[in-house]
Amino acid sequence: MAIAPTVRRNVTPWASAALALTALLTTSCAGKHSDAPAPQKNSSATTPHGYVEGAKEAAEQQSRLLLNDPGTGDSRVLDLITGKVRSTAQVAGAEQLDTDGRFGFFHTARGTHVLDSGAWTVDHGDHVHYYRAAIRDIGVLPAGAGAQIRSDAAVTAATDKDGRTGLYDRTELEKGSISSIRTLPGPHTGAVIPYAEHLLALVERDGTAKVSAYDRAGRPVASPDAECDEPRGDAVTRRGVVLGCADGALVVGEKDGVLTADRIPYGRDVPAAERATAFRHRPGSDTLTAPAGDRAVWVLDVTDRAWKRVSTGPVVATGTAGEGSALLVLETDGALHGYDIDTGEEVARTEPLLTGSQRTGTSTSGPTIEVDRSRAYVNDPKGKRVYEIDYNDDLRVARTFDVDIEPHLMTETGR
Amino acid sequence: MTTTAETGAGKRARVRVARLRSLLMGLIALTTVAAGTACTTGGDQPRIVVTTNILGDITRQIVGDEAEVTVLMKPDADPHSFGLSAVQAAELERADLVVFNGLGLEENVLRHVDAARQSGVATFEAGKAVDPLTFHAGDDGGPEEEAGQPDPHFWTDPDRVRKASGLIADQVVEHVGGVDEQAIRANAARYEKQLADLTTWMEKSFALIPEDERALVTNHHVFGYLADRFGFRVIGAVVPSGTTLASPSSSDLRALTRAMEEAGVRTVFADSSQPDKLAQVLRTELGGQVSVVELYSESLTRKDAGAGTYLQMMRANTTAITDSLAGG
Repeated sequence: MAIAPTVRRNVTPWASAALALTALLTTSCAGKHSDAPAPQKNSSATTPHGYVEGAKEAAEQQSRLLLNDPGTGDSRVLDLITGKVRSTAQVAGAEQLDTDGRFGFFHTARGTHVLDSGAWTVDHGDHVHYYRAAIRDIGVLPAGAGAQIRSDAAVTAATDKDGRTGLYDRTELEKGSISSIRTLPGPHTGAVIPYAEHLLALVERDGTAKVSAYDRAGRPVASPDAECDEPRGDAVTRRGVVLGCADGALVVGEKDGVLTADRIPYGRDVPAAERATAFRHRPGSDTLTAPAGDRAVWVLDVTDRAWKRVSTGPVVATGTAGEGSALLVLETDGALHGYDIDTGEEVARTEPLLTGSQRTGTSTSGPTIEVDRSRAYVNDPKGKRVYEIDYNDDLRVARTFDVDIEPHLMTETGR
Repeated sequence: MTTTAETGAGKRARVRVARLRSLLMGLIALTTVAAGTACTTGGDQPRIVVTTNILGDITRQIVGDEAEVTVLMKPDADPHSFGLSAVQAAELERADLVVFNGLGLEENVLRHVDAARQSGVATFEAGKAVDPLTFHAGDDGGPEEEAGQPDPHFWTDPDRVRKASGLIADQVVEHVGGVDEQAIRANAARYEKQLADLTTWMEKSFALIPEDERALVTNHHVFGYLADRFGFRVIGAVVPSGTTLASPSSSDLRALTRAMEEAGVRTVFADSSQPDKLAQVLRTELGGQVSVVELYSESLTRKDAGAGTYLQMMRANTTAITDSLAGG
């Protein structure tokens, strides 16, 4: 009875190969069979997907704020779940602090310091997983001031101000080490952006920048025939990569493994000083904001392919959670203002939150707004504070965190 | 004895074909791959590979010492997200029998199960064999996007697990050479008796809960079968995130408080990183007593950590549900 069910395989197609390779198999197995460990006893072989030594899966998003004072080099991690503040390595002279959702990138003249914030999200399409782990210093990427760093799950691309791009293995970063894959000489205009298992770049030819694409190993691949005049600014959304161009946005998406390009023009003349260049959005949202000069804000709905210009007070920083919630604008009066995106009406404002006088502009340092799924965060450098704002409740200040440094730089991780 | 010998020979032949197959499918990465995949077999003992740890426990109860049972999903893991190493994937293709939950549960593993099936390995999709329910619509306690799809979480109904046990025993006897059929049947009968006792005990426990309070307000999406079998209503709830709990507004809690009002209960069965804080916030919002209770849902724990076996998991959940709903 045992024979019939076991002879159930169609052996024939493999028979000749079996003959040809039997010798190979026997040789390579000689003497190993008896003492080779059974695979199920090898615990490293059963590491589940998303498992990280010391990481713990959590029921909810594990949000953390990275804070830095470039003057003193002091850095802090504020755990927004527990409210606890941790000190991390000194990084002096940082001009910019940004993140790929897990790693903080501190841009200094001498290189980019990488910090694992120990909080991240793994998106499986129909559901997500949240993790928390220890905070740890990873090291320095050799990309100095003005570098632009973008990541997906597999690759971190660091483009320096000369347009050369170093590709790094992000799974190695997760393990705590910096491992270079290769360098793309470029020169690229703006950031090289990992997206949909490709790397998107803009390459200047005959005075205009053209979209070009590489595979993850850095080999050139077919790219959509699209141009972007005077490119500045980018953002990755679920609908594609948004690039800021002189005449509007260029959205590079992916369909069935093929890259596509789509224009969302302003539909009117926009002076260079009023172009959208400093895009901000809540990760996962398709609504982008960017200052439109000093006294207005652009809102780009990538899904509806529509620009909207909202007149505001003098703009320090912008943000929105999207999906019908208010446009958030930090203005030079030090208060956070909420605007209805459809009507342009101001619908809420806080008391002044910021200490000292404020300037308009798109500086990478200074007060900023981080927006997540339930709250927004505003840093008050001179006041040594961070405010937590409930943007669905008339911009209520939900919590105020006092910190022991001047947090001129701030970014949020865990997403 | 002849049967055993022949089985052994047949098995070796199969193992060799499977080795070659994985070799060729790996685009013949030459000697390294040959050495890596072909030389780690642990000999001729019959091999059963099970995907989830819940089915792993059930299968081990039935198989006993008759065959080697390998469970791919670790304790305290998530069946939706665990993946396989190359070694494990190769091992699947060498198994005598693969037992899996199916109905889409082990997302990252199902393609490997398909590959094993296509290469001739016997596979058993437990979820499909036990008359699965479909997910309810989102506003009826089910996950929004999966309404109408078969619900893979059949293990929350012990009767279906009993049915699955009998079927797994059949599969083992049919496909795994060299096992003692009588021993398998005896193990299965003993385990099915324990499962029948479990059902009886659960019925008695839940009978302590007033009928109109048999409601599970929960962010788990696995209790549809339990609810169907024991007459509970499942009311899906969104649990506020960790950062909102620190200083919540009424709107942050509205979805949850509305679900509780609708259910007429004061207990939320939820995974929360701060269950005490959530309970406290709900008490402030609703007044009176509110409790937040965690249940085991999709994974067994490590041994001695509360739900090391399927029977322990079901008893722990039943006690937690009864204590919190019958008390009020």
